[in-house]
Amino acid sequence: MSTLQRILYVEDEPDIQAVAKLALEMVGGFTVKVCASGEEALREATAFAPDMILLDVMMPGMDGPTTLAALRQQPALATVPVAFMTAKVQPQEVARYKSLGARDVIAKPFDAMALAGQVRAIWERRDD
Amino acid sequence: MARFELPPLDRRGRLAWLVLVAGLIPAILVWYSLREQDQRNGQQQFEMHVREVTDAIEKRLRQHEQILLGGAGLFDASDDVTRREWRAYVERLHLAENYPGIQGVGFSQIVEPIQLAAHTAAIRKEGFPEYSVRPAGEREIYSSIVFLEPFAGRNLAAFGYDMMSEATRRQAMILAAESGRTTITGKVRLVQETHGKPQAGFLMYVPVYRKGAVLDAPAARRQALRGYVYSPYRVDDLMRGILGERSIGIDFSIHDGVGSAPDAMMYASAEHRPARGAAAPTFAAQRRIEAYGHEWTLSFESRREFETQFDTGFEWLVLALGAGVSLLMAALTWSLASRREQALVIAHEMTLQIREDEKRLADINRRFELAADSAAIGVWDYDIVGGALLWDARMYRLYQVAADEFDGAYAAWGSRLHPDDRPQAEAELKEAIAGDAEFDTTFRIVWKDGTIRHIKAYARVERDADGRPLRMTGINYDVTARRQAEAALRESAQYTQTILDNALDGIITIGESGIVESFNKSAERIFGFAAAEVQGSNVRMLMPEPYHSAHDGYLSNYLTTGNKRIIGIGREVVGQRKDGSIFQMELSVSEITHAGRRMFIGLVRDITERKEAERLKSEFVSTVSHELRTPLTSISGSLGLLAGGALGPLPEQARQLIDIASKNSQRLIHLINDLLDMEKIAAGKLQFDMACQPLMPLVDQALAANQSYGARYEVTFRIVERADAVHAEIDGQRVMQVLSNYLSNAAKFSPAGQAVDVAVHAEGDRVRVSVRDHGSGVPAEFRQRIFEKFSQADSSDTRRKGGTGLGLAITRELVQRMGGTVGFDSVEGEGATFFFELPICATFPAGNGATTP
Repeated sequence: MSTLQRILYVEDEPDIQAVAKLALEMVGGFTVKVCASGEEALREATAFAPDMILLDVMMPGMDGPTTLAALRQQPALATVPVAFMTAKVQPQEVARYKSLGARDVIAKPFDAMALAGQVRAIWERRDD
Repeated sequence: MARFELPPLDRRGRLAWLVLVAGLIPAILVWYSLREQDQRNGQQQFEMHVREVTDAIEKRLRQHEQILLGGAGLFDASDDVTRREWRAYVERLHLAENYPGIQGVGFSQIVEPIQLAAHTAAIRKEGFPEYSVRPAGEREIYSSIVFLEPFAGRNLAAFGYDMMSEATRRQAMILAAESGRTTITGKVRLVQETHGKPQAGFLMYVPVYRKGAVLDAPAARRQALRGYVYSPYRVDDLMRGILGERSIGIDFSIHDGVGSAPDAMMYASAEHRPARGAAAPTFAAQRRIEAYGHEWTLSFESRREFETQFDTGFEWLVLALGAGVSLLMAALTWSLASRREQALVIAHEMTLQIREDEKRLADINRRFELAADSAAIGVWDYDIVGGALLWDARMYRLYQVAADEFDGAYAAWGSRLHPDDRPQAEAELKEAIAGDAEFDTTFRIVWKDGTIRHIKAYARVERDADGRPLRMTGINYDVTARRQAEAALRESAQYTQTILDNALDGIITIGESGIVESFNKSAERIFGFAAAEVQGSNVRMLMPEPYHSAHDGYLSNYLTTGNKRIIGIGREVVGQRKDGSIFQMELSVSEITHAGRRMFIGLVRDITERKEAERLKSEFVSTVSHELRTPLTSISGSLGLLAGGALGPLPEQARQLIDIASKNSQRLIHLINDLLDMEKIAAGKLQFDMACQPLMPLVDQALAANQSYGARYEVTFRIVERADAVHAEIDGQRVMQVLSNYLSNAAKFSPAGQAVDVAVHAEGDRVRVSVRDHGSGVPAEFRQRIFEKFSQADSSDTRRKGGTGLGLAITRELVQRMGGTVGFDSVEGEGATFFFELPICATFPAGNGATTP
């Protein structure tokens, strides 16, 4: 099976973009592409061919779920595992997000040092 | 009168008898007198008849004697009387017409025996060849009937008969001869009785003497006797001739001599008539006729025909009438007396009845008085015609008027009315009198001392046949107290109503079946319905679907099972306004029993605004949290990376500062999380994933998760009591959160090197998890609000111990939401045991099946 290498990170906040990217690259050694919006993600995703997509939920314009739905329209991204990034949520909201097609939800603020591990753990659960 | 067994005579009997007798006596007297009258009449008539007959007979006999004397005179006057002369004499008499009944008139010649033959020859020579003196035979002297006119019929048989040969005749003839007087014989049978029914007979003799003879002595007379002029009589014929054929109903008989021997009977009229029968004749008489030396006894007896003339029976009629009247009177008397008796009895009974009624009336009166007295009801009587007003004792009391102050006029009442009420009351009185309304009213009166009392009055008007009012009878009673009570009640009710009306919450009461009974002003405001539109209808009209249809089910479910879904608890439900709009409301329902019925009181609060506020707050919190979290993510992320060495080693002091910054940014994050948690919990937005699950694994997990935290404070956690079988209805994640809170608190407040004991203990239907530390315990002043927000012992502690000050508050909320309780035991200076209890849903002994507690 393939390995987790390429991660698409969709987040509108530049600072968080920078931190997350740094966390994933430095700690996880992943190749991270950052998109500042759902629209940008749609443009770039297929070309980037990510192994995993991390979506911020609260974004102006297309929010996380909308972006996910749109990305899924692109054949190459139909089965790419997706995780939402959002403020601490309750289990039923997690369930809701999962039902939208995400594997899991990562709480914000996240532990920068643990983020890479969390992502990997989610990616490795692909058979759930 | 009939005889009957007389009952013992009571007064009326005696009276009746008296009347009867009194009536009968005159009747009887009258009867008697009438009877006597009749008798007398009869007697008179009878005697008249008797006299008549007697006179007639006597008269006739004398007439007959005259005839004979005439004949004798003829002989005396002439030397000789020839047959022809005799005949002429007799014919002249017209015997048949004048003296009916006389058989004839004849001459019997005395014949000396020596003359006999010559006599016979001489007669024969006259033309009677068969003549002879009969009976033949020798006798001292002979007589012979030589003349007898009319010389025909029966009389022929007498021609030549010697009457002296027969004793009875002889007797009479001798007597006549000797006395020179007329004589008659006793009863004889005449020789004329040749045919037909024989009759009794007799003869009358008048002696005839020779001319010039001396007749001074009987013997001389006898010597001088020439013969007799005589008449034979057939008595019946004679009587018929005397009396005629009339029958007047009186039998009479003639007896020769005295007495009434049958062979002496010469005549009996009764022969011709049927026998009388057994009854005695009413009238009877006997007369003696001295007839020429003979006594005839005439016996008269009245016959029925005669008697009945005088037995008119009138007296019986009168008697009957009289008796009848008497009887009637007696009966009447008896009846009247009976009536009187009856009347007396009735009167007696009536008297008894009246006494009883009086007694009953008295009883009723007493009871009325008692009732009226106890109820202080005054009775008045107003004579409309005369204007007089009568009051009873209680009226005086009601009006506080002394009897002598009350003048009994209408004004006596009117003047005591309250001036404000007087016109109305008097007008109503007039209306009642006029018949337009009943007198049923209330008014105030004023006592002498100025006290005002409320009086209720009621009266009826008595009218005459034309409907004109005669009098009015009524009652008064004091209703002041009642009025006051009513007023107080009204005030109280009004007060309560005001409260209800002004309560800000809607108050709705419904009955068992869901029908709305009351609907206060605020409810009207909330729902937009007027109370009248809702009262009497089912409460579900205030609910939208699906509650609208389900409400009856909820209600009946509650009533039957007692399952409180909504009772006693404030719930957020959805309501529907009149305009159809739906809104959120908070509903608290309580149940009461009123007058034996179950009722529910619902307190309704339109929480739309609150909800809106909450929503805004939520939104605000979300926004804020997001806004806070975003920079925090960057801060904590950056610092975390740096502190984690992901970007290589840092200079020592730089690393220290980065550590401090990183730790504090973590703290900020926790604070924000806790705040958001609290907000969610308070808003009820925290969702619980409840399941019946074993508790111990969570405890173990919590210990493991907090191990590193504890290590930081050099505190070890250990489980001192386990309850592996216990299952509780819980949200695992929240229990973990609670355990973490307790464990971290325990670690924070434990001295270094100490252990924190965790015990899990099942008791009844609850399981208690306790976390015990050996720290300084909870200070007294915090005991009350230890579970409140931000109630950490003091802010200095907060800084030192860390934590957000919300942990225990969150724990309490979480545990309570799971149906459990929190608590602590602490003695200051000896540590604290914080615990929570949760309901056990099942107990699974290790390896066995579950048993529900």
